[in-house]
Amino acid sequence: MSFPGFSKILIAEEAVSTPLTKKAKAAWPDIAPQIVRNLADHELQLDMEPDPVAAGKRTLALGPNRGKFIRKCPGTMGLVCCNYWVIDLVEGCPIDCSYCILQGYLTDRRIRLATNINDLVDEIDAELAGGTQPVRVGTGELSDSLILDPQLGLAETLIDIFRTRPRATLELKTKTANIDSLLNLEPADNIVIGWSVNTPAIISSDERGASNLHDRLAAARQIVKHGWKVAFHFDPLVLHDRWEEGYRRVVDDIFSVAPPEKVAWISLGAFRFHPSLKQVIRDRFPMSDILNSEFVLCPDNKMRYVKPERLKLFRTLKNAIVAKAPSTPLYLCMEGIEIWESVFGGSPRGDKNLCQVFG
Amino acid sequence: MSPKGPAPSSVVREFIKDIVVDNRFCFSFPAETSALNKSVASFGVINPVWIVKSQDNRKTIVSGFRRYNAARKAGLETIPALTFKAGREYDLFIAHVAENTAVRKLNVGEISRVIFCANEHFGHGFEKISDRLFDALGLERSRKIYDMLLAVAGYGPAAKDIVSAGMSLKAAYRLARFEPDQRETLCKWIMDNRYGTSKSSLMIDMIDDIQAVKKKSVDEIIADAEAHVSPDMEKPQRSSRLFESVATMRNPILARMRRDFQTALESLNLPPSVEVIPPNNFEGRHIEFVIRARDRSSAISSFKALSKVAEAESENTESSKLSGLFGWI
Repeated sequence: MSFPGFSKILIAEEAVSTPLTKKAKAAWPDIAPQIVRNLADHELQLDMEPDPVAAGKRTLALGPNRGKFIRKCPGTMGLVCCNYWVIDLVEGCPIDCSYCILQGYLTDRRIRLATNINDLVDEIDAELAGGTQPVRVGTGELSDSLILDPQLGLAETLIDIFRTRPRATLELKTKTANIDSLLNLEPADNIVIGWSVNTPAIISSDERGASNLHDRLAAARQIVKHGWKVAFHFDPLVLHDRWEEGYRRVVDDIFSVAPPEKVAWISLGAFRFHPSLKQVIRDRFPMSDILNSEFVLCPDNKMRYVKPERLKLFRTLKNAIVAKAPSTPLYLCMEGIEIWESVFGGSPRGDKNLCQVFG
Repeated sequence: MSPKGPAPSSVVREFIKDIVVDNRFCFSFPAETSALNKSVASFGVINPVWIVKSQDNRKTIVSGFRRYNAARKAGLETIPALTFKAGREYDLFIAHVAENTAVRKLNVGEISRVIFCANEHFGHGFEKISDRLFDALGLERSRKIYDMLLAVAGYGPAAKDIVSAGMSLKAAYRLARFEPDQRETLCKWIMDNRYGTSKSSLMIDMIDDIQAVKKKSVDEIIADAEAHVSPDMEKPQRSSRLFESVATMRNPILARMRRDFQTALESLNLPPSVEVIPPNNFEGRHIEFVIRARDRSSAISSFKALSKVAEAESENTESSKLSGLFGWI
């Protein structure tokens, strides 16, 4: 069975004949899809299953998105905002990461794919109308941007949309090596292929179903060679045995596949979680050591490593990255200004490179 | 419309000595309450218990165990009873649960026992149990909740005492991560120290974390905590110090930050009317300096004391005591 291995496909009546639905049916020909009047009436929570999160990942639900496709990443009061915009074309992710916020965040546990992609184009134009500031947009917030690409080719569709809208930079963020379709396309300046990276130890213990680091970086090497820009996200940074050595090696590996001038940005985010996620991780990932550190509750009601530990993580990574690529935009994800000042000696406003990225 | 459940006889009086107990129906915990014992001793049993009568005239109590026990304790000879024919015990069990949940909120220990009985004694699985019992128990239909309740039902007596004292299911389930003997040791220790429900939950969480991070057993963690607190100290203070000791084990860096902050604060010799508050868990940018004054003159004396600190600081920037307060960032 190829990944993702869906066991059920639900299709909303009104989405039966859309191109995306046809592609999905062709991609998983062994599954007889169930046509339903209203997707919301079918197996939303999967609470009768022993592991509803895992069961959700095996169910693909196709239907029109009734809400907005694009939203500004809400950020959090008191934390520095990186002005990211999010497109929710796919919600839910077949990759199963221990630390994933979606395990507790989404009320619908299925992988939902919006079939009314034409409405997305109108929405993008409406959002971009009038302004001149650069905008960063990504699809990797509620799913992995490339996980369904071999079957559905969503990346090409999105790239075609953004290619002619240079005010926006589209980031396709992934933990996979699914880049084949991208190698057949003409690169564009405003498209960035981003990889979430971690040490091999964390990938193997806490990122079920994701590609290993070697494969991700091999894909990045090909992408760079083909002319695309890339980005890397050290998120979550996790304290674990020999983490300093592990992360330094990842930094070295990154710059061995991508020269600094091809790296659009790098972000650092220390592991953080809503307190309710702790039990989920303990239940679903009993062998994970990710919780075995000192955490404190922060004003945004998330647990984070106690401040000196976080600073040690950020400074180690920053020093390793700056040594290799002093002018590559580097930023922190979901941290307060005091952490920025301690790590970078100032706020993002004082960094010309970052101002261009943040818009 | 007539009810679907088994139909009882009219109320009869049964001799207590003739009644046997069917433990499959027992879920009330604690099994006795002093208020009920007192009431029955004064007024007798007013609400009838439920009895199942078999063909050989064996009389088994299936509802009203606390009243039955209180009546026995009070030395009563008979008890009012509704009698049911044998054969529909699971329906009676459901009705018995519904009767209870209609008048009181069952605790987690009791709910877990209900689920255990339905599963173990009446042989039903998740589907049937969630179908008929979850609603009555106020539970969401979820396999996870069912599994959690069955895990809690397997706890030993000390753990049952703790979870039945108002703990949420999520908090109670944290105990499932401990080996049975370690769980009992921990719960006995918590009970000995008389922590309330929320402190008990926090303690369980902290010790669970310490176990995982430091690879220590519950016995070792408790011994460590005890070693840091004088055995001569009186109970409430001692319990509170033990709690702090465990919290320090769980968060040693945070504890050190707090200690350093306190040391820096004490070296400033501020008047008691000035309170200095760091951000919670040192997450934030600012320290609050709060001046409490009940009148003009006490406000002035606080201002003066603070001025002295400010003067000393501006004269002596190299060995600043004040900057010690900001060492956390």
